[in-house]
Amino acid sequence: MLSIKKLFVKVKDKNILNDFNLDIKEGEIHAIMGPNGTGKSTLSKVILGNKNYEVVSGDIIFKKESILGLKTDEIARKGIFVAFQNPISIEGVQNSEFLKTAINERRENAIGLFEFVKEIKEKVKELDFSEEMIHRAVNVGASGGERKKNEVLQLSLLEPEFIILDELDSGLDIDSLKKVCEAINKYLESHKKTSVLIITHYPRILEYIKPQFVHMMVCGKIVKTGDYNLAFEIEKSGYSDTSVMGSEKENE
Amino acid sequence: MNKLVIDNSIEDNDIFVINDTEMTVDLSNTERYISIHVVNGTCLKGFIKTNNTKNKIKYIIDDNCEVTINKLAIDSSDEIEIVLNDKNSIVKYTTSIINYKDNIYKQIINHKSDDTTSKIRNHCINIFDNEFKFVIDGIIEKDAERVDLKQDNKIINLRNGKSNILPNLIVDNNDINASHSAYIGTFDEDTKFYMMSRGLTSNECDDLLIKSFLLNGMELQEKERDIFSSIIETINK
Repeated sequence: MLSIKKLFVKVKDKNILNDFNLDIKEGEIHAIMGPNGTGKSTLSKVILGNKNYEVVSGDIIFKKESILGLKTDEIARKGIFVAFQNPISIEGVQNSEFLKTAINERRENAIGLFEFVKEIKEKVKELDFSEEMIHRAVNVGASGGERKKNEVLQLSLLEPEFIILDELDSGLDIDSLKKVCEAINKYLESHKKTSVLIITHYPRILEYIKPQFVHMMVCGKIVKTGDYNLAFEIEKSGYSDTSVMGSEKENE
Repeated sequence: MNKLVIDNSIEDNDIFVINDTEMTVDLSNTERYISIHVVNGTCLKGFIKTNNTKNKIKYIIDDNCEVTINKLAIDSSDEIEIVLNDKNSIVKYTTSIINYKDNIYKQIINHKSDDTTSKIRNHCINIFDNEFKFVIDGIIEKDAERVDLKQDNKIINLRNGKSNILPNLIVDNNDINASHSAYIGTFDEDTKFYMMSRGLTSNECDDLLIKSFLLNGMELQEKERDIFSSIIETINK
C-alpha cells in the first residue's frame, strides 16, 4: 500500500532522512521507534507533502502511484491520515464545520445534516467526548487528551486507508489511551484493508494496537526490523545499545 | 427593546437613545456625520453593515450604559469616535472590514470618567494589493480612574497588500488597565497544513479562516450571523 524508496530529505541544509526505506502492505500494522530528533515526525510530514521539507531523492508510492509533488490535500483525499503529535487549534472554526467540509471533500454528494449529526454523535459517544465539543472551535481550550481524541474522531469520520499515529500516546493518561486505542481497533476491525504506521518512543501504545512489524529508526534511517518483541527489547536496552542496533537489517 | 434603523433613506443624523434599543445600520456610498447619544442607564445593541462609506460617527455615552456594536464594513474609511462621558459604562465595539481599495479606518475611544470599560476588536481582510490602515487611539483622561481599555487590531493580507496599524494609547492616569495588540500578516501556514491534511483545498481553508477571522468575537443573533456570513462568502470567489 505504501512504499518509501531510498528517501533522502533535508530541511535548511540539514539532512533529516537518509536512505529511508519502508514497505507497508494492505492491512499491516507497523511501528517505528526511535530517539528524539531522529526524523520520525518529519517522516509523517514528508508523506503529507509538507513544503518545509525538501525531498532530495527517492520516492513515496501510495497505492502504486507516486505521491511526491502532490499537494497535502490531494494526498489526504487519496486516503492518508496523520493523527498529529501536537494537533493545531483553530480559533473560530467550529469542529462541525471543519469536519463537514472535510467529509464533503471525499464525497460526490454533500452529506445531509441529519446523517452528519447522527454519525458524529455516535463517534463522540464512543470516545467518551462531550457532545458540546462538536460546536466548539477546533482544539481551542482543549487539553492534550481531548486533542488526541479529536484526532481519532476525525479519523473515524474521514475513513482513511492508511493511518499514521504520530506519538498518539503523548499527553494521554492510561484510561484515555485505552479508550482512544479501542476506538482505533474498532475502526480497524471494520476496515480490514487499512494499514497503520505507529510512531512512538515507548511500547505502551503497542500493547493496545499490536503491530506485526517494529522498526528501529536512528539518524534518519531504519537500522533494525523485528516483530512485536523488538519494542520491548528496545525499551530494555535503549537505542544506543549495540546489541539492539545489530546489523542494519532493513524492511524490504 | 426599541428598534432603531439608520439607512440611506433616513436622514436623521442626531440620535438620542433613551430606552434599551436594538439598532440596525445599513449604509452604502455615504459621507455622513452621525451623532448617537446614549443616555444614562441604557443598553444599545448595534448591528451595522456598511459598503463604501466615509462616515463620521460619534457615540456619546452617559453613565451606567452598555453599548455593544457588531459591524461588518466593505471598503470603509469611516471615522468612529466613542466618548465614555460618565461612570460605569461599557462599550464593546467589534469591527470587521473587507478591503478591496485604499482605505484608512480611524477610531478614537475617549475615557472621560471613572470605572469605564472599552473592548475594541478590529479585524480586516485586505484582499488585493491595496493600502489599508487602522488608526486607533485610546485616550484615558486624568480624572478617569479604574478604566479598563483593550484594543485588538489585526490585518490579514490575502495577497501583497500594504497594511499598517497605528495603535496609540494616551494615558493620563495611573490607576488603569490598558492593553493593545496588533498583527499584520497572512494566515498561519501550520494551521493551513493541518486543515489541508484533512483534505480541504487551500481555497476552502482560506474560506473557513476568513469567516472565522471576521466573525469571531461578534455577539450576533442567528439571522444577523447569516447576513454577515452571506457577505463574507463572496470573498475569495
